[in-house]
Amino acid sequence: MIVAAGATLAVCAVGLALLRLTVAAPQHCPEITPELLETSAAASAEWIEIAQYPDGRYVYEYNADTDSFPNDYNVVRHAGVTMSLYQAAALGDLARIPAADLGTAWMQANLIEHDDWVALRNPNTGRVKLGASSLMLAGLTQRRLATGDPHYDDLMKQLARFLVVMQLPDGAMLNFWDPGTGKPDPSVRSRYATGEALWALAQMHRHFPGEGWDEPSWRIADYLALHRDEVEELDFPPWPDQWAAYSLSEMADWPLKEHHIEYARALAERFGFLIRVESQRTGGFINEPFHGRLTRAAGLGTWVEGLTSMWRLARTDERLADLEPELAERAICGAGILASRQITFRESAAWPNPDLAAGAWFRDGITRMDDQQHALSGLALTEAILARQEDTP
Amino acid sequence: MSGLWITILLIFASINPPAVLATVNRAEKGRLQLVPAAVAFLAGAALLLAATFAADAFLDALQLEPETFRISAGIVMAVTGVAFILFGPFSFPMEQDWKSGLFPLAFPLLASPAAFAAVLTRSADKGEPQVVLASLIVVAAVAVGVALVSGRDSPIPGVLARLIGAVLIFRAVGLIIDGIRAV
Repeated sequence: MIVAAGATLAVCAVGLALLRLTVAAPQHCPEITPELLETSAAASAEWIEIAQYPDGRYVYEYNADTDSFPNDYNVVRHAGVTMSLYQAAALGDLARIPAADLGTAWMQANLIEHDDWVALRNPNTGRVKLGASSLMLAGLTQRRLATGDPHYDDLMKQLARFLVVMQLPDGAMLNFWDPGTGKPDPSVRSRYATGEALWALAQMHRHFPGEGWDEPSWRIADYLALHRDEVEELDFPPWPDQWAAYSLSEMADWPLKEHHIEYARALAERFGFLIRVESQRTGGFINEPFHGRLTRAAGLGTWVEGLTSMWRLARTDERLADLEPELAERAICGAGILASRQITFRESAAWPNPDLAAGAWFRDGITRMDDQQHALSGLALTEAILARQEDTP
Repeated sequence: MSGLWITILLIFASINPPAVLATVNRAEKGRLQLVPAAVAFLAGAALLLAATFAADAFLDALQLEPETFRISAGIVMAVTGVAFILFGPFSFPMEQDWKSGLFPLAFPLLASPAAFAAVLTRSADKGEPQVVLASLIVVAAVAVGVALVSGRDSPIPGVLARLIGAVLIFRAVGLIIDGIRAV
C-alpha cells in the first residue's frame, strides 16, 4: 500500500511540476513607484536624444555585441520616435522639445508637395508611406498640445489633407502614394497605417474643430471596429492596435458609438491578456520553451500604450468604467516589466558603449530606436495612472 | 445554475463517484465496511477543507492570479476526465481495514487531484463558505453511497464513470475558456 501511495504522490508531483512550468508559471509584475517610472521614462528619452545626429536623424539600431550601427533607416519610425518626444513634452517634460524639433526639421527637409498637401517621403527610396506622414502629424499635434504654439498649423493641415487623400470609400487607408503615377497605390493597405492616420486626424479635430477632420475619422473608426480584421485577414481578432486605442481614447467625448465601445472592450481585453502572458516570461532555457521569448520593448511598450489609452477611455465613458481598475493594474504591471528590463546608468558602465546602453532595451544584443519610442510613450502615459492612484485616498 | 450548484457539480464530477465505486468493487471482496468509509469521509473532507482554506495563500505562494489558476485547474480536470473516458476507473490495492479509508479512498479517490483543483479554484473565485458546504455534501454523499452499494459486481459504475468523465471535460473546458477570457 505504501508503494502504491508513494507512486500516486509521485505522479501527482510530476503533474504539478509540469503545470508549474507551463500555464501555472509565476506572474511577475515588478513593483514600480512614480519616481522609478519617471526615471525610467526620462532615461529612455535621454537615449533618444543622445542617439540623435546633428541633422535630426537618430541611431536606427545599435548592436552592442559588435558595437556597430547597421546602415539602415526607417522614416516611419523616425516620425514615431519624434512623436514620442513630443508626447513626453505634452505630458509635462518640455525639455524634450528641442530634440523633437530637430527631428521635425529633418522631416520638413524631406517633404513632397502635391496639389494642396504635403507628405513625408523617404529620401533614399523616394517612397511615400502613409504612416510616416501620420506619425509626423501626430507628433505635431502633441507639440501643439504641449506648447500651444501655432507655428506648424499650416504644415499640420497640409499633412492632414494628404491623409484624407489616402482614404478609401470603406474608411480604410492606403499605405503608399506613388510618385510615378501621382496617385495612391490602390493595392496595399497597412495594419499600422490606418490606426496611425485615425489618431492623427482625431487630434486634428481637437485642435481645429469645425474644419471637418471628424468626418474621415469616423469612417476610419467604423472600419477599424467593424471590418478591418476580416477585410485584412488578421488572425485572432482584434489585432492589438495601440494606434486604434489612442484614437478611441482621443474620440471619447465625441462620443463613441456602441460598436466602437465593443471594439474598445475587445482591444482592452487583448492588451490585458498580452501583459498577463508577458508577466510569466522570464527568459532562460527552462521558461523560454514554454512561454516564448521576452517581447522586445517596441512590442511590450505598444501594449502599455494601448492599456493606458483604454484606461483614459474607461475613465471618460461609463460603458467601460467597469474595466478601469483592471486596466490600471495591467498598465502598471506592463510599465513595471518595462522598467525592470531597461539598462540602467549603473549597468551601462559594463557595456561597450555606455551612452547607447543606458536607458535602452536590448534583445539579442540589439536595440532599435522604436524600442525606446514605445517604451517612453508607455512609461510616460502610465505616470498619469500612478499619479491618480497616489491622489486617491 | 447557482454558484453553489456549480461548485457541487464540479466537485462531484471531479471525484466521480461511480469511478470510486468501481475501484472499491474491484479491490474489495464484499461491501465497504463502515469504519473505512467513515475514515475516508473524515480524511477526504479534511484534505479538501484544508485546500479550501489555503487557496488564497497557495495562489499567493505560487504568484498566480485566480484567473490564471482557473486555466490550470481546468487542465487538471480535463486530463482526469480524459483518463476516465480512455481507461475507465483507476485500480488501487486496498487492505481490509481502516487504512484503506486513508489510501486509496481519502486520497486519491475522494481528495483527487481534480477535486483539489476544483476546490482551490472555486475557493479563490467564490470564497470558502460555498466550497466548504459543497465539499462536505459531496464527500459525505460519496462515502455513504459507496458504503451502501459496494460489493455488487456490475458494469454500470464503469459506464457511468466514463459518462461523468465526459461531464468533467465539459466543465473543465468551460473553466479553461473562462480563465483565458478573464486573463
